[in-house]
Amino acid sequence: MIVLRTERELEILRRAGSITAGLREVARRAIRPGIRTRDLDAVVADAIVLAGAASNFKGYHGFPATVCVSVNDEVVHGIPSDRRLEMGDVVSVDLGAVWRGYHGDSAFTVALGEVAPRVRELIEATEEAMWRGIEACRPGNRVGDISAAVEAVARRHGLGVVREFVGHGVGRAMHEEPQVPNYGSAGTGPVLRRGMVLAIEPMFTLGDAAVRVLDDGWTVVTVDGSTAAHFEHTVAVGDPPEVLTLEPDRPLAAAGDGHG
Amino acid sequence: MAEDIGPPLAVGDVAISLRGRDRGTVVLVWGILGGQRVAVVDGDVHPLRRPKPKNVRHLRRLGRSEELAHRMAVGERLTDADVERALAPHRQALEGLKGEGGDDDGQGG
Repeated sequence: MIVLRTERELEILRRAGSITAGLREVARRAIRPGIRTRDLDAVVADAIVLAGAASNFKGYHGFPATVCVSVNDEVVHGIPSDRRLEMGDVVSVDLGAVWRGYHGDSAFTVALGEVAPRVRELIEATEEAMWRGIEACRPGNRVGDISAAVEAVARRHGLGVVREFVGHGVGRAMHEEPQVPNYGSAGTGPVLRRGMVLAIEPMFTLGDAAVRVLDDGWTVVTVDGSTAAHFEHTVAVGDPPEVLTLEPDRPLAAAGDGHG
Repeated sequence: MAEDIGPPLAVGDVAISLRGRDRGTVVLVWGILGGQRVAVVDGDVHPLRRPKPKNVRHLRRLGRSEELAHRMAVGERLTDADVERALAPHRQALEGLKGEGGDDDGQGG
């Protein structure tokens, strides 16, 4: 069942979203060659506490960390470790927060230093696809319109579209209905309505789209070892669509204000 | 965090249970329940009159019974013996693997 959020719920989701946006900025500032992915996780974990929120990733189906850090051929759900980021790495960070029972969910990919033009294209196209998908989050459209808009960008750039992992509804749970695949046909699937909140998250690969899960049970890698990128925002369906995880509405240090 | 919809399971697929009391048993996907769940049968502990709902994350696809998939698709009624027969080769293959490991702890139920 797809839940339509009340205006009151949307207010809380906006807050969860702006906290998540703040976390994204914290992570973006912390990423640099030499940092361990474990340290990146710690920085974001601290920021969540500072915001008066809680992690929605930690413990989710047993996920052991606050953020997912996926490097190079890792697509999503990489577990932070002692691995140190290096120049030339392509780093995807997926993070979120839960505030007063409602979730925010967002992800981005950056390249450290110079990378091949084709890798740059992968990252830029994946972000563009996310925005095309977000543009389609309007009342009266269908989920398939989002999927088709995202997929079209991948096709245009000759990139692989990961099929086993999808966007999703966001609300009181991080993963709610509907599923939002990054492939599909316009005009199909559930009709979008005001009050729906969706995570739009293309995952593209430079090579083949086939993925497998490592023995840790989480890390998703490309089977052919090609580089992957991932962007995500949590979006309220509207005209225009409202990107809830776009920007922090105040400095993160003050994000706990008005809480409780 | 992306939602894991796994390699999609279809009616007629044969899978092994990875979690739960029935862990390690070979089952047939009998129905798709939506979301992340499917209904499975094994012709024995979970007969056709009592399919077991199962999270797809807790199953790994081993193969497919084209015969049963077709018969279910055309609405033909199956028997538990049909299911057992279709699963038997997959069970034997797994037993073979176990045998090579030297240790066979049986299937429980």
